[in-house]
Amino acid sequence: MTERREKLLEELSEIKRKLCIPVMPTLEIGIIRTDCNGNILEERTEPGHSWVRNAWNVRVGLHGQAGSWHSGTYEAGQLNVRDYWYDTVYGFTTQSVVRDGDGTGGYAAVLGKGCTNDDADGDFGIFVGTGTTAWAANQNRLAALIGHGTGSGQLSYGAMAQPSRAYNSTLKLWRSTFSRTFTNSSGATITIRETGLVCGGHLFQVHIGYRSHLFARDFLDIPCVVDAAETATIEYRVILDYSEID
Amino acid sequence: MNEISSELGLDPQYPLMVGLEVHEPSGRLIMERHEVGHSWTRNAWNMLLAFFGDAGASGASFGAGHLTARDITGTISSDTGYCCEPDYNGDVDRGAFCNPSTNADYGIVVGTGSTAFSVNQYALAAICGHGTGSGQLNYAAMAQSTRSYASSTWTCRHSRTMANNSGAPIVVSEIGLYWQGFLFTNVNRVYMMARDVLETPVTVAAGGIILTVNYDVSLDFGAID
Repeated sequence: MTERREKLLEELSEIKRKLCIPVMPTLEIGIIRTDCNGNILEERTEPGHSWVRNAWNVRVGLHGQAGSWHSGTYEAGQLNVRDYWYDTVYGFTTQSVVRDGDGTGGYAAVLGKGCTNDDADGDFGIFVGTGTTAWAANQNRLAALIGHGTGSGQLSYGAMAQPSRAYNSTLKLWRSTFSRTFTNSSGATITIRETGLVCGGHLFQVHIGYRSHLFARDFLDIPCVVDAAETATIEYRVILDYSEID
Repeated sequence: MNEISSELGLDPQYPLMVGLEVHEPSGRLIMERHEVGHSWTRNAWNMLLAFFGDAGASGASFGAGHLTARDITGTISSDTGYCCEPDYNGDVDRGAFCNPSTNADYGIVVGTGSTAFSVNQYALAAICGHGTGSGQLNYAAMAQSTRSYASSTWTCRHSRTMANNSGAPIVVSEIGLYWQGFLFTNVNRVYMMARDVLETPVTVAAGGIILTVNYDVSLDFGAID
């Protein structure tokens, strides 16, 4: 960390402490690779960089109870979302945000909604890809998604469990950890170069079905090479600093 | 602060501004001023993590190290299998912060308490009830929040008016933002997300004098726009 960056961080922290302001959570990515017997071959952490416009807009919707406001484009000055699968830009002026992902009119249940996909499929949750395109705020997809399956170039996406929560009483940080396994049964090596956190929900949308939306995308500093029969576990750790209030 | 956040590439702050206006029943403006809100409570912090982290509750108390919520009656919500969902499936004109009814159940509320702000507070110190009795105000229905974008910042305004038909002046010294929905439970409850003790209390005279409270919630997109 440069001296200037360190100084700025201290200044920013002090200002936020004085104003008692909660910030957007920071992100961290955990990468764990195991062989077919569960032995750990690689384990490391990278900083996440990486909320995209969908997540920023959703945050406005959450605390502002704001309906969408846009003219059909996904860019600065537009309060909407861009869908992952259909690539469509949309948003209703009458709807803010609900993280219900299964269309049952949910009551805040964690599993099966938001970014926690408890099915072994690639509908939403943590995604991985092979793309190398640099991160940009207006992205709504991974550059080259690795599909769910056992075919060539595919990984078997595991069902996600409820995120674990932990509080670091020294640093006063809360951390909620999304985790997903990706097993390589394709018979050949696959290299993960990008990861994504995809929310299934009703974002600026009426309550009919649900759509998937990229919330965060990270181009890994070091690719994760998953040989045949190996499993990669990707974690997205959502961290909120409570030091201003705890 | 925005400049520092931008240079660091960090997500920006999430400030509140409070706007206060007093009008005669005829609409003539008597008083207008703005204050910086100070004022998100622990409930709001925990809601943010619940929403973006799909975080269910952790712990059973309400305070540092406990990921729970405390509703305005003091009940602590602490179900590990539930995180955050606004009431009415995200409709902008009801549930969450927007109360479309003429009551003080949720939305913007005001009170006469002067207890200093503390992050663990879960209700106003002394809320003014809805009505025409002593110490009461007639709360109007709230409309959908307005939103605007300027200088890379989105601002949403929650607004509510309340009239004093009680027959005596009422001194408003605190305001709150009550949210209705599901937070760490599958039971629909009301939580105080913000509270501000006014730097200078506002006297709302009798005779139908109207107080308007605006809460402006802003998010600076400067890091990405």
